[in-house]
Amino acid sequence: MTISLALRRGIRVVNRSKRLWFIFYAVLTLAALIPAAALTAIAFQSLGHSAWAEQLGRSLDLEWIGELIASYDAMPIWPVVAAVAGVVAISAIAHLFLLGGAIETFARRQWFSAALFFGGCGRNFWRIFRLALYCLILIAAVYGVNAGLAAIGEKIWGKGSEATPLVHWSWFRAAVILTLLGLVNLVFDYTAIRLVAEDSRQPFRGLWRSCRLLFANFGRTAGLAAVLWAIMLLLIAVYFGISQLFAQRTLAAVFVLLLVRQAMVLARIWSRLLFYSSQCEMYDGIAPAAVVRQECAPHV
Amino acid sequence: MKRLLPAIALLAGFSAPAADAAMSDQIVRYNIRARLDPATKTIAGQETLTWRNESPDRIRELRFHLYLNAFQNQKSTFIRESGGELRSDKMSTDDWGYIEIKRMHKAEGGDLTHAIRFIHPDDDNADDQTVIAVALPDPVLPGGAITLDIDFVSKLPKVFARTGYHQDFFMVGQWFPKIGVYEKAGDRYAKQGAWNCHQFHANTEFFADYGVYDVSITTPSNYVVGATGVEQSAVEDPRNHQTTHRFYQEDVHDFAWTASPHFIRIERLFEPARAVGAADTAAAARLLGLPPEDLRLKPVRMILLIQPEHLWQAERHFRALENGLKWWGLWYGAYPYQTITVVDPPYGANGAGGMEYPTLITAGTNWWPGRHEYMLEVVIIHEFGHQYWYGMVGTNEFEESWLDEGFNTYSTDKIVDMVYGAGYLPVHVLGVPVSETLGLPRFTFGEMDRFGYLLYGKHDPVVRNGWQYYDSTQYGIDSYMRPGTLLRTLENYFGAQTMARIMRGWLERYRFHHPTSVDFEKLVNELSGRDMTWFFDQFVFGTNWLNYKVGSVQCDPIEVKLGSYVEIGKRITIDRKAADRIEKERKKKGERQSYRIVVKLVRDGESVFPVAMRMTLDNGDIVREQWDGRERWIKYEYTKASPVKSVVIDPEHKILLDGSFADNSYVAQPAPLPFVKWFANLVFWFQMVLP
Repeated sequence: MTISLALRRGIRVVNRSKRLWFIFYAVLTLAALIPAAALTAIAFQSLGHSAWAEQLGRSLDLEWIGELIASYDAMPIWPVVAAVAGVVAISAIAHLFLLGGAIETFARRQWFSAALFFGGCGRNFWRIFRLALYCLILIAAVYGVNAGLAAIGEKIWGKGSEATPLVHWSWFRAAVILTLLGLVNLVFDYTAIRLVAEDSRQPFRGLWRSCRLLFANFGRTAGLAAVLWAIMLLLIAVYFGISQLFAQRTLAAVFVLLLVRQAMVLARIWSRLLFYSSQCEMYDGIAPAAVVRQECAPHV
Repeated sequence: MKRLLPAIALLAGFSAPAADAAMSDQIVRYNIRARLDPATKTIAGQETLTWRNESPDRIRELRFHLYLNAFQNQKSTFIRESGGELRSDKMSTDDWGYIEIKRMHKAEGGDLTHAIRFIHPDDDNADDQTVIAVALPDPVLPGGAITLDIDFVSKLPKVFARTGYHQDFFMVGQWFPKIGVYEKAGDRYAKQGAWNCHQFHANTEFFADYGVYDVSITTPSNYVVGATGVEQSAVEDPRNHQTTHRFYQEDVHDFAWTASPHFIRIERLFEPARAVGAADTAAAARLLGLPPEDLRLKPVRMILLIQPEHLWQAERHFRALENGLKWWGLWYGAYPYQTITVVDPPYGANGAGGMEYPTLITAGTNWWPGRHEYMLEVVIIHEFGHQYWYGMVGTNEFEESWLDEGFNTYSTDKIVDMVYGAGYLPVHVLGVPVSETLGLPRFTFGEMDRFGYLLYGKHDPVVRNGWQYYDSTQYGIDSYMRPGTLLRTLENYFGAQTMARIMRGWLERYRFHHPTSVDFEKLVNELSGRDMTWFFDQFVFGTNWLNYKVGSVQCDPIEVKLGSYVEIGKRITIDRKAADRIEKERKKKGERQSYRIVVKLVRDGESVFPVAMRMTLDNGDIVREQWDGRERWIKYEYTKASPVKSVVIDPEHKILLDGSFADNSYVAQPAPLPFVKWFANLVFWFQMVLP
């Protein structure tokens, strides 16, 4: 299995699973609407019939933020942080839930059906959830490495009189940490695929097996991941370029930008699903015996 | 560095001690010989101080500041108050700073060392050793003088609270025994003659008499040295590779210096003919009502001591300094000294950044300041501005910090916002500025002042002793941002011309004196021709909050009223049907619908301020009202041919002290754009960051 082939097949599979995109889109949007509505309500409560709102239509006003905070007599930072953290946690759990269904659909090589998808969601949730917890430990370890590298930099250059070595060290540190986080992500993805493909309930064992598999085929697995990240970054760059064209000075412009942005959100979901579909294909290629082959009929 | 010495020689005309008449009363004269030992971080000093008694009192005791003792242990008042933290900088607990007087005696004989005792005039902290009293065997008579020889050793702490060392960088401020200010009855707030010599507090800066400083500093020859005043000579002793730099300055009230082998020294001349355009001079002259010739500035030697890694930012430093020299000069008066030195502290010495001393200021940039982030500029212009508010107008920073910091914030922000415009907040990722790339909003410093005032402007009056504010944040807001907002409100109230003349008048009248807040109030009343006592009582000496708001707006079409009426001696009844008929007839005749509009304005805070109201009708008509704002609320009633479109209090946002602009207005049809826009933005941002 080549990177190119896995990618092509992955794109084909994702493109025929449009209903999957919309399930992910709906859940994500719902999760986003809740804190957005709450924050808007807090923020705009004071404006009501105020003429100042028009000014805010142009740009965020620091003085208004000051008034807003002052009107609460203290910075309402912790309740807001707690609420947002709660939404992030719930959203993450929902994502893990849906992921089981998505991988089930990709790994079984079947057309999307609600029974297959939601059956997969339910069947795979706990194993993927436990896998995510293990990966959280790995992520914590990566942050530990980050702290260690920062401490080394501080030890060598921290008491010096130049910021340059520390800035350059921070770039190196960022590269190391992003690579390590990318690897953790890779391990998570392939282990999740393995758990679903083998119908295994042993995420810890799966984790180590996936590591072995990954490093035995490191060029292809890491190469595919790099291409997938590049696609995601490209999409973001394209969006960034397009969004600069809209100044949001009229309702029409706001609406058009909203559409562009929703296209971007869908592209992001597509790209994330592409990670799994392509990696399923790759996994199939490098561990063919493990995958339960239930090819779908072409016209079902 | 040394390569610039020929250029300095060319400007030798600057170097001789000034022969002009003294600008100040020169109460003190310091001759100091100081030797820096970089290994032990100590300065061995010999000080000869002459102090003149200008009061009618017989002075039997002298008082001195020993500021460095604030850093000698955790029992000092400074450390107790600050907890060892100031301006986000933490004091090192493994290397302390202190100052020891080894010997003090009168020049004509008579040892005074035994007569030194520590006192603590501000609090009950017997462990604080930042002020000493020296009992004199013979009083200093009115008009007389005393000369003392003082041997001292100053040990610098690791850089903290403006002074100290970091590696081989030395920022040497508050480093010598410095005599306090003897205030005779009638000076400032003094009812009888007394020393004004406060302990060193976490939230205070300094206060001293004007005088002459002649200071010789010996450092290793590879060190680049910068200091208050004009360098008279640099004499190298080749035997021990030490160089003695002699600096001289008259009419200043402090002396600080810096030394580091890594500084790159760049010198330029501020040439008014090149830097100040005729149009700018003419505009300033119009503003001040003065002939343009009166605004003529003088050339100034600008010296920049910059870190090698910031060398590429040298242009920005010079441009900011030139803007300072130009605008402060045009608005308030020409900078009177020959030099101004800007020190760029190295990475790790942030505690030394953003500080003012006479003719020497410390700036502070970062590794990569964004193109439209103006912290670098605002710090330089602000610290330069202290040459006026603190330097030339020598207010007491212990007791009335707003007179230097607040005035300076007001002036600096006007310059920065005018010259540079709104800037980005410094948001950096991995050392790289990202605000512009991310399209974050830009803010003016004036907006930031009001932001700070809104958040923290409630606990203390603006004027109070620095150590008595609720906390250090309150001190900061009340000294900088709130006065900045307050003075801009005053400017909006008077108009730019009157305010400009008041500020220039403040400098002209109190140049090289020690005025107070009350003096400023009197000057404002005099130059504006209005009694502004109400303003000062409420916003400078008081804590009352100001907020006016639109309480309610009611707009109803005037309809035929139902009921029973007597018309021409006959009782008639108008019921619904009759009313509809009358309305129909009116429309047929082309009579326009009238509206009854009732507007209620409310004074929500305790403070009173005259406010303007502007009501706009749908047909474009505008109704204006002026309310003296004294009552708790006021009602305006109108009958108009068009419904109301909007009602706005203080439509030009002149009263920046108003605690809320949001409730200052009412629009009949709120614009949906901002709500839709920000809600859509938030949804998208969450969609992108949520898993």
